[in-house]
Amino acid sequence: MSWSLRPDLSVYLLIASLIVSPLSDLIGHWRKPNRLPQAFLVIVSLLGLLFSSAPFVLDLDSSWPFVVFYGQPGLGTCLLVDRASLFLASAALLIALSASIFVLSQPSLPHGYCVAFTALMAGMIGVLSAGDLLTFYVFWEIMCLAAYALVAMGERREEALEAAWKYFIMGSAGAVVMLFGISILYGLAGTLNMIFLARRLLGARDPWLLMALVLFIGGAGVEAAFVPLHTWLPDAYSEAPTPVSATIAGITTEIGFFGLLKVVFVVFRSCSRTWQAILAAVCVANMFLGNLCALVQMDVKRFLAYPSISIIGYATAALVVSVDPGLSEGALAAVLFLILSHGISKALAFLGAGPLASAVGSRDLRKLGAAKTSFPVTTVLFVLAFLCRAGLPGTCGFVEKLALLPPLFSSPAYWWLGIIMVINVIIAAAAYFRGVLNVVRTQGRPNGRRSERKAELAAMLILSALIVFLGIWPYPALRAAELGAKDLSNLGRYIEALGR
Amino acid sequence: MFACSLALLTIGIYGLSTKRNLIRLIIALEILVNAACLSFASLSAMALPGSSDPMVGVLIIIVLAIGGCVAAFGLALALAIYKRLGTVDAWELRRLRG
Repeated sequence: MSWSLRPDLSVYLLIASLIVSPLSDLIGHWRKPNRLPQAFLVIVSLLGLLFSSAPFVLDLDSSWPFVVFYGQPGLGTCLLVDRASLFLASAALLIALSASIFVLSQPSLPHGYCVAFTALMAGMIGVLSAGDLLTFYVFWEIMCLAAYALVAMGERREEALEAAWKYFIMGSAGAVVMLFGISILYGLAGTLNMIFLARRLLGARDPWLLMALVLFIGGAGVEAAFVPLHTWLPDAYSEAPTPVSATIAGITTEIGFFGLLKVVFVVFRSCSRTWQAILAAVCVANMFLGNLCALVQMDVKRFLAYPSISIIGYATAALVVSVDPGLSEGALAAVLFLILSHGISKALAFLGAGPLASAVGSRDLRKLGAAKTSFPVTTVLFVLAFLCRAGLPGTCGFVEKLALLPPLFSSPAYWWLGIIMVINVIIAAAAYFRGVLNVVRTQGRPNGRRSERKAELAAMLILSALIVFLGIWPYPALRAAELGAKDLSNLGRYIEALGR
Repeated sequence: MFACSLALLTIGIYGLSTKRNLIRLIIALEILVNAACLSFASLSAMALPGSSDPMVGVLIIIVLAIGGCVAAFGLALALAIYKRLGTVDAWELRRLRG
C-alpha cells in the first residue's frame, strides 16, 4: 500500500503536529496576538480528518486490521488500525475541527491551548490505533493530561481549577490502577501486544485474570465515566472553555469507553461472562443516574453534561449483548453510530450554549431564551441539538436509538436492558423537551454580548447539517459503522493479522 | 516483590481516599505509579528466572517519565489552586455541586 493511503497516516500526522505545536503557540503570542494557533488547529484537524476518513470515502480494498509492528512482533510496540478505529477517529477529528473553527472568532487563545488541544487530538487517535497496551497507556495519559490542562483554562478560574483538580486526581489514579491491571496481564501472558494477549489468554480461567479485569475496568472506567467513578464529569464539562467542553463531552469520554471496549472485547474474551455481569450493573446505574440528574438541572452546561453519563450506559448495554456472536456486529455497529451521533449533537449543544450564556450573562436554562432576538441562528441550532438528543425523527438522535434497540431486545439473557433503555430514552426526551420549552418561552433582553460571530456560526452549521443529513439519510454512516463492527467483532481476524 | 507492589497499591489507594492535602494526594499517586512499576519488574523476573525482559526495562523508564509529568502537572495545578484560592486542602474545594 502506498504511503499516501496508509490507514495509520493520521497517527503520524498528529504526532508530528504535537511536536510542532509549541512553535505555533509561541508565534501566536509573539509581540501582538495573531490567529496562527487557531489556523494551525483547523489545518491539523482537517488533514487528520481527511486521512482517517479516506479508507471509507475511497473504499480502499485493504486487508483489515492494518497492523504495523515496531521491533520484534510480540516484544516491540505495535499499531493496530481497523475500520472501527478509523470511524471513531473521523468522528473525533470532525468534532475537533468544528471546535477549532469555533475558536477562529477569538482574537487570542490562552497560553498552551494550541499544544494541549493538539495533544488531545493526538492522544485520542493514538488510543484508537494502539495495538499494544504500552502504546495504549502512553496515548491514554497524553489524552488525559491534555484534557486536564484544557479544563483548567476555563473562564471562571476558581471553578475551573477545582474541576481540573477533581478530573486530574481521579483520572490519574484510574490510569495507574489500569496500568497495574496491565502488569498482571503481562505476568500472565508475557506480552503486551493485544493480538498475542488475545491468543495466549483465549480459554484462560485464572483468578489473576479476573483481578486484572477488575483493575482494568475500574481504572479505565474513570475516563469512561462509569458510575460511581463519574463524579469528575459534570464539573469538568461545565467549567471547561466552550470548544473544550464540546470536544471532551462530544468524543473524548466516548473514546475512553471505546478504548476500554476494544481491550475488554479482544483481550478479556475468556472471562466474558464476568465482565458482562459487571458492565450490566454499571450500565443500568449510568442510564438512570445521568437522565434523572439532567431532569433537575438548571445550569445549562451541567444539564448537558449529565446525559453523557447515560449515553455511556446505552453504549455499555450494547457492549454487554455483543458477546453473543449473532448480535455482535449489530450491537457494535450501533455503538459506533451512537458515539458519532451523540458526539456531533452534544458538541453542537455545547457550542451553542457558550455564546447564548455569554449573551445573557448567565448559564441558567430559564434565562437563555432571552438571547433569541440577538442570537437567532445560534438559538435555532441550539434547539435543534436538544431535539436531536431527545430523539426527534429526522435527526440522527432518532436513528441512533433505532439502531441500538433491536440488538438489546434480541439478547436471550440481557433483553431487559432494552426495556431499561426505553424507559431512559423517555426520561431523557422529557428532560430535553423541558430545556427546549425553557428556551422558547423565555422573554427578555440580553445584557452581555450583542451579536453572533461568523466562525462560531460556521462551526455550528457544519454540525447541524450533519445532524439533519444523518437523520434523513444515515446509510453511508451506518454502512461504515457496520464495516468497523465487522472488523472488531471478528477476533480471528486480529490473530490472523499476525501472519501478515 | 509482587507482594510489595500489592502493598504499595493498597497504601496508594488508602492515601488517595483519606488524605486532604493536595501535595499528599500527589505523593499517593506517585506511590501508585511505583507499585505498577514494581509489579512489572517482579512479574518480568518470574516469567524469565535469572534474567529480566528488556521490554519491561523500557516500559518502566517510560512509565516513570509519564509519572514525573503527571506529578509535575499536579504540582502546577496545586500551586495555581493555592495562589487563587489560598488553600491546599482538598475538602475546601467545594464550589461545584449538584
